[in-house]
Amino acid sequence: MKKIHYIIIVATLVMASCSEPIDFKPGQVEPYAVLLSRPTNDSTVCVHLAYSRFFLDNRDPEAISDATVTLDVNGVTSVGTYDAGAYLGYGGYTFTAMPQPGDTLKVTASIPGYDKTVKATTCIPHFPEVEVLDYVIDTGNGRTYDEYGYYIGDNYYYKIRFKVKSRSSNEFYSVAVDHAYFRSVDTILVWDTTNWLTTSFSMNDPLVNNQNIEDVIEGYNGSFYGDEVFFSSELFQSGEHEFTMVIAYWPDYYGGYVNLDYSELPLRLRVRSLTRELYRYEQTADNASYDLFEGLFSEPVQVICNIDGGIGVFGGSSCKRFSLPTPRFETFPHDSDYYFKK
Amino acid sequence: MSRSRKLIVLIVLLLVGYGVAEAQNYTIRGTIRALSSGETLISAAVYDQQSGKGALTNAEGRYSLTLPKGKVVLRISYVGYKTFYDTIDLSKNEELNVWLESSTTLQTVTVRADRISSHRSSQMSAIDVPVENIKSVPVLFGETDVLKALQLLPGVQSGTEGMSGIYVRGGGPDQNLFLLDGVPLYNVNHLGGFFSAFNADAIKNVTLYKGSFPARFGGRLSSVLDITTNDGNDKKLHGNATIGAIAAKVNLEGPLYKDKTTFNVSFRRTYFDILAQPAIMSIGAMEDGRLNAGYYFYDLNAKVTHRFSDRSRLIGSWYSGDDKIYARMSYDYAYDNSSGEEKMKMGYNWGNLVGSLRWNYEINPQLFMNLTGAYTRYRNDINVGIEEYDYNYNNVDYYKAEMYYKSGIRDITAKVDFDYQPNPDNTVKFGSNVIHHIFQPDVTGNRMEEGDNGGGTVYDTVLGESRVHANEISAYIEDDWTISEAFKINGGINLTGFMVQGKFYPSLQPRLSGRWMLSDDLSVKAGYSYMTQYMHQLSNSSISLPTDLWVPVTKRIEPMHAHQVAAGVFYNWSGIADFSVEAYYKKMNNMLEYRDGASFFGASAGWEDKVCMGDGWSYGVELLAQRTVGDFTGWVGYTWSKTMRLFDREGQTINNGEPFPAKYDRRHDISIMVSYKPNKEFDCSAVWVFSSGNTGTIAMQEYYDPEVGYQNVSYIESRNNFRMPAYHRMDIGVNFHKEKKHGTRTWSLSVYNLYNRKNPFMIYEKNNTHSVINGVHYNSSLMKLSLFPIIPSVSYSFKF
Repeated sequence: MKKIHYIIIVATLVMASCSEPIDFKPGQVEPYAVLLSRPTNDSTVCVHLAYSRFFLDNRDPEAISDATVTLDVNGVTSVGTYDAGAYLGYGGYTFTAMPQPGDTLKVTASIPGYDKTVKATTCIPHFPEVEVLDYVIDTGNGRTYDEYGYYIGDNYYYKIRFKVKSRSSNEFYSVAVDHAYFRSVDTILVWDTTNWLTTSFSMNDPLVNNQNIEDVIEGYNGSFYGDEVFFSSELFQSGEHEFTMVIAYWPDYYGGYVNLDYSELPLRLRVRSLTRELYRYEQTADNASYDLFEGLFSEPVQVICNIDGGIGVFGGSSCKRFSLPTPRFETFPHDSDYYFKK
Repeated sequence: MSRSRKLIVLIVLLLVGYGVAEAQNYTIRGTIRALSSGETLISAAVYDQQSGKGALTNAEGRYSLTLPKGKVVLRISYVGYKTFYDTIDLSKNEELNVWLESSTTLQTVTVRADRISSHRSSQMSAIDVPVENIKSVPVLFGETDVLKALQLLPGVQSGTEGMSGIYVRGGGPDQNLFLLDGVPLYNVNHLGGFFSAFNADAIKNVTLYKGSFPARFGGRLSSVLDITTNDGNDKKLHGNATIGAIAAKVNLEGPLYKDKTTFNVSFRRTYFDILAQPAIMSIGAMEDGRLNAGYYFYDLNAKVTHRFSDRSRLIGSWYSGDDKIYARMSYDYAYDNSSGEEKMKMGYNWGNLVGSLRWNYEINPQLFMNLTGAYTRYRNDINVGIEEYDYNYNNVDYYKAEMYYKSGIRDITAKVDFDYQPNPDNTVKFGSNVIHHIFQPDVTGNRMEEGDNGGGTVYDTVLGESRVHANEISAYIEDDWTISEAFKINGGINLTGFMVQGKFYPSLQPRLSGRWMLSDDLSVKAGYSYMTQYMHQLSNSSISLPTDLWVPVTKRIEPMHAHQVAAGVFYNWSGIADFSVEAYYKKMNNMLEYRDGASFFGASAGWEDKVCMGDGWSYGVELLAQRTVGDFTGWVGYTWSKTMRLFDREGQTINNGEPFPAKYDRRHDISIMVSYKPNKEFDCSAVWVFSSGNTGTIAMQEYYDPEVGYQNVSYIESRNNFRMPAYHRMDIGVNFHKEKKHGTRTWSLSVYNLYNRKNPFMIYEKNNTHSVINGVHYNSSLMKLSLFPIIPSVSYSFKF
């Protein structure tokens, strides 16, 4: 038995002997109506409604399908239709409206049995001004071998440099990168530019470092790593800021050896211009879903919502996608001494 | 004419005026000491029954009473000592040193000391706590604790179960100024806050100011705890040794050079690391290795006092106290062709060091000077190291890694204080001090070395904040002015300045308190104080951790300010009991809180980005009824209070910019302390405390947002939206004393939490259980964790 087992046993005994359940009065905390909708310029509006649940109840959240939901876009009102397969399969009220930058949107939901009217307002911000400056592939990320020690291929770094320009110091953005998936054509694998997946990347920039609670708690006092990064223009110098993002790829990324030419991997940069309410919600909701040691060693996180009569978010964004140009190729993928020359 | 020039002219005119006024007066001065030990007595009352004028002794036991020419009937008293009377025909300045006889040496066991009750003083919101009272309070593990005794007073709250931090009138634990012989002490906790750093055996007097601060104090918003240590017996060698449940203490005092030089040394150390060693070693042996680990803390107090004359004394004092966690483990292995060893070590030290040299000098009968130089250091060091060696054939592979973390603060202080009594109606205090602060928020170093016979690689990095130097200067003047028989005020100003990172923060802090005697036994008092604090302690847990960082104000982080007003009614019942009711309102600005989600985990570089600045306010009513004479003594205290925080500044909001209750906002606090001492062989005491539960933050509702992540989003309606169950417990203690040939032995028995109340230390969620609450089925439950059940303890001490 290892010493850690003794420590765990002693700690468990101490905890068990000195703890007892509290008679908590759940009647004091009624569930909220949760409204989730992120209208954007390149899709029709979908509104998801559900009830929140008491935190000691482990039942699955209950979607609301019998509400009357109306959407007002620049004074034009329409009623949503419930679709159980909408909103990533969680159910939602769909509308035909596809808002554009400058549009103002209001949503109202009347839910039978819920004594408040749920409503919120947002807008679609103007498109982000982005310029891709540079795109470089480097093999300085080492190489991959299989379990028998056979060389499979070089690992790649994709480095993308881009610039964001803002009109004021009060604008909000998010950045993500999508890569194409692959498909089989006559037993040959090719990139499929109709099927895009989000990929992770890292950034070492004072505007985005340490924005994840995990980074802070686990002591990563440095660069961002994740799927989507959020930032504001508050600290932009002269109204613009230059970012560099790095994507690391391995030949066995998909769990097998697909033998695709990664130097031709289709990538596109996705930059969104966010409303203030969406920006604040995305940042806080992500951190609120992370809980370390029951929050004993960190401050609690309050999700900032903009829904009257309920919780959740109704926040607009406008999105621009940038297909990245053919990269400058710098690798020597079949030179076995390359790694040591570096 | 500039403001500062006007101020200087005003002070000069004031002093000249006083000089003119004193022409027909003479001064009686001297020192009040205990007869048995020669120890000077602080705040002893010197009272002229003829004129109705009086004074209290200062921190050096000196008094100065300027009276009109003629007959003087002096009455000198101190709680626990026999009152001394003397009649003098005052026609010149007199020196009168008095040695008071302890009441415990009398055959009669009841003390009916005449005393100047607190209802007569112009000071309000202040409590003098004789150390004997502190020692009579039963406490956890039988370990006498100054701060836990103070938590029983109205207006002073404890943190969580067993913690010794104090929260005064809605202020945080970093808003208390702890002065040990006049020198600030930063970390006053041992064992994560379960015990305070003050060894009661070394202490002579404790005074707590909760508000209406005299102008001579500054630098913290909420309280001043002024602790004076013993000088040492000037007659003969005395000592006291105690063996308790978790710690052993020894105290020695006596003359180094008779009637000239005295010393006092106290040492305390816990020993459960020593007792636990066999168990720890056996754990190591089970793993075929060697393990040496443990935790202990110690305090060392030393003081040497040299008296050049009755007018001049030099005092050197020293305090060092550390907590140490240590672990060393090694493990050897051997296979067919190879062998190796692994070593691991970990050390975690934190604690204070304070050294000071003070010169008391009586310049003339009216003017007394105190010149002090001091050094304070608080440190918090962590070292972790691993070494691995693998010996195969003729080759050695090795790997070494070492990490260290350091943070701390150092102060170098020089100050001068003057007491001046120009006439019977005025006692003026003025002075100045300069402090050079050196902050080291944190430094983390990593060193890694690996290699073999053919060579190796070394990685060495140091990260963290560089040292921050700051200078703090202050000057003050205050006057305790008896305007009439009924009306007395204490007014003053404290002028401070703080220079950091090229930025200068000045602050002019007025202080005023007044007393109006409605009758001989009844008075009303009111006071106002403005305080400024130039440093913060970053803390985001209910537990007082040594990793909590002391950080200075910076260009971005502004000083904290507090305005406090208080008023009260004070009644003395036949010299036997005191009753008081005080109400206060305190407004605090520029308080710091960690931002949502921020943690002290990880490096503190960029700590300014992790915090928000906001405001707070607190108001309440405090009732105190206490009896300090007789066989039965004790008090009943009750506090009703409300403490709120508001963080609504742009980019620095907490709780959506709405007000929220502070962590230790409690509506009700009750404490009852009773002590019974029928004879010299036996005394006992009991304490009962009750307080509303602490607040906490719980996300009562959850929902799923597929675009956020795989876990549910926890929704918190507001900060500190949950209140824990109420806290209450009873402690009792009994002491049996017996005179022996060479001294007095005492057996002390105490029981903490007599009726085994499971008070909440923390609340957590427990999954995978099934419970039914109000007819609703739940798969999780909320658990209350308690720390201390009923804890009996015993200690033995011998005093010679």
